[in-house]
Amino acid sequence: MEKIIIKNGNNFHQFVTDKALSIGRGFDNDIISNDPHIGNKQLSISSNPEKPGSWLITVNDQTNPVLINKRPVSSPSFVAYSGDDIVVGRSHFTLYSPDHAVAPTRAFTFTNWLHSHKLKPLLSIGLVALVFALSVVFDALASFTEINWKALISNNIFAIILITVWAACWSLVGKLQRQHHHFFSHLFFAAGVLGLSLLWESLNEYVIYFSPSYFINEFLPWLMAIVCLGLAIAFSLNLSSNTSRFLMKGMLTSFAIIGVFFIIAVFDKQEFSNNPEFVVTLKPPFAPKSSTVAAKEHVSSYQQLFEKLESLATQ
Amino acid sequence: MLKQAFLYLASIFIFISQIPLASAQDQSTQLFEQLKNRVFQVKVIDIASGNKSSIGSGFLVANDHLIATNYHVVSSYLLNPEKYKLVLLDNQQQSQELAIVDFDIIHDLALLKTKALPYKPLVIETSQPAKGNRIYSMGNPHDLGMTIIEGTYNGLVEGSRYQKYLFSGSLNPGMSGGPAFNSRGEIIGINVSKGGEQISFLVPAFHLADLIKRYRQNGEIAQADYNSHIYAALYADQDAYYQHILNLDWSTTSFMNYDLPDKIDSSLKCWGHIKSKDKDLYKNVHRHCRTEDRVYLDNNFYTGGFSYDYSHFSTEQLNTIRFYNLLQSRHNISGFYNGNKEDASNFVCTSNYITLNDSEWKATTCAREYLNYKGLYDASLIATRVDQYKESLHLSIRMIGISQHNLLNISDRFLELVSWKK
Repeated sequence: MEKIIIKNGNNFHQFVTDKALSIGRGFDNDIISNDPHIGNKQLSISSNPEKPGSWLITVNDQTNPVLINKRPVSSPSFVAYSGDDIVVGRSHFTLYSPDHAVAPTRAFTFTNWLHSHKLKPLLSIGLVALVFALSVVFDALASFTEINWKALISNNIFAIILITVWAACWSLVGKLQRQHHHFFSHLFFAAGVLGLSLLWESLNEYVIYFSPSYFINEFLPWLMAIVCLGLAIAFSLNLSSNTSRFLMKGMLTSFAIIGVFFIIAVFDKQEFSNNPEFVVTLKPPFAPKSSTVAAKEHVSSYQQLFEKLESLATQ
Repeated sequence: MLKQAFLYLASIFIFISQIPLASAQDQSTQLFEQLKNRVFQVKVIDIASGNKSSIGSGFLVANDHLIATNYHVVSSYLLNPEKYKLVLLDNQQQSQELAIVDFDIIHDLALLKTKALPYKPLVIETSQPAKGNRIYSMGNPHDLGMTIIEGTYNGLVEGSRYQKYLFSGSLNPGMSGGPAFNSRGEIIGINVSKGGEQISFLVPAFHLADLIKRYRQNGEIAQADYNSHIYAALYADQDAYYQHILNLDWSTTSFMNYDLPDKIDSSLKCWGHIKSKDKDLYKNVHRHCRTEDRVYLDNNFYTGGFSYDYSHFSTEQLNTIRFYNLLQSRHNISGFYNGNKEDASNFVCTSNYITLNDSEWKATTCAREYLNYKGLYDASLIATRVDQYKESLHLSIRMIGISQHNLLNISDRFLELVSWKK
């Protein structure tokens, strides 16, 4: 009696048999597929007496190519080992022997307190309130006329609604994918990312102030958008699915989304403007003394300005 | 009896009071009749559509069929001769084609030539009329037909970079390039622009006499040389102005706790005010000096301005973070609203933290180059003091159509004179 486990999509099929197993669209197969690109009796899987622990796969239908570990199979039969991935038509089948090693248990990425049902709502709502307060205070500091708290609060409510909707959408995804919504966890991380973006935005202005480079001024906000959106997607992916490498996937998705906006912004940028564009940032504390120059040196720097204009003209 | 005597006296009084009015009306009627054949409508015709693109007026100034008008009336033709043609329409609605022979972009004048006009030219009077003299102007406002208007001569405009006569009469679009004349029908100026209700400006006739003289000496300007001719005039004009400014002894004025360059030249007009509203948590004292003249290059491209502004900010109520947000909102250069991508490059800027007499500032200078007149720039220098918690000064200088070396020298000179009373 030999045991074989066949994974098809997210489903695992376990067989204990001495007979050959069959995969195909026919209803007399051991694994019945509804993929129209595979044959009626596409594959037969039997024990390989020559190499114990491996299987002999016979291809019964040559209409579409069969791939093993992403490489096409040229002969009508081939040997497969535990963990090998077979693609036929648009279906994937992975074969496992019972003693196939599994990956170590993945620990919760975040501490267990987030999984405490009592703390979760309290922590999430607390963080949302904190971020909201931070946002209102930052806006108040940015104004130089009498502060209209009512207007500031109503303006910032939108951000809170946005993260709540974000959390609700991902909860729905989680409920469908993993049968658990994790709404408060989503809310907690979305609020955290919003708080991070607020702090980063303030920090950016100081970075720009100390290094008044137009390139940095242009580049930093885009980088901030990629990182913050990437983190938000990564956390949500982690909570809503079993996907591995969620941080990388989140960042790549964010890079693609922000990249589209960046390209739109580049194409949307006016070819000609009567308004000079430069870094206007002025922040206390005072001017960085190390980079302060005499007034004459500033006037001398016009020469570079004229050279830049000259090179613009030749472009 | 008494009633009859009263009626008799009253009728004499009414008759006498009407004499000057009637005489003035007679004079303008006579002048109109005398000059109407020698004042024309000048039309710029768009060749593609065959319709008029712009209109102005002009008048005969010499026996060899020379017509005088404004540069701005014919500029679209002058800058794009392949797209437009110039046409003169006389009193009998007869039209004939015109050609440009010379122009003075600085004083907004152009000389045109046509094939044949069987009229006597108008006489140019180069001396200034006495202030208060009644003068007349002719032209075709809004394409409504040739009209004559009366007004008063009020001398040369004071505090102006370019000499212009102040005409207390009402010029309207379409009259540009038309003649302004005295009661003898002699040309004293050329209609050029309007400054407000009953405030109009004339180019003095002596500039037209100079232009005619130059044309007699140098001959016609070839179409291919129009651009270089404009460039030479603009360059020479800005050079003369800024060299004049730089040769002056710049005095300083006390502005809040700073010593800053005062009104440098009579061509500048200076104004000041305090901006402080109930809701403002800071006080802003502002002063600016600027020239009010500009040189017309194209429909939406002007040059020749020079201005500088000082804004002092102080607060008791704003904390440092909020005060610096206020300063940041003012550390910008407002749009030049002038020209398009065919006229000038985009702006390029340079920023530095600088020291001015032991105080620290963020200084930014932005400039763009004229595409058709290389070597001329629009530039702006702004500086905001950044080493104080509760007060700061923002200064800004704007120079339109300036050369490299004048820009360097004016910036240098200006920053040199900024000081702070500790």
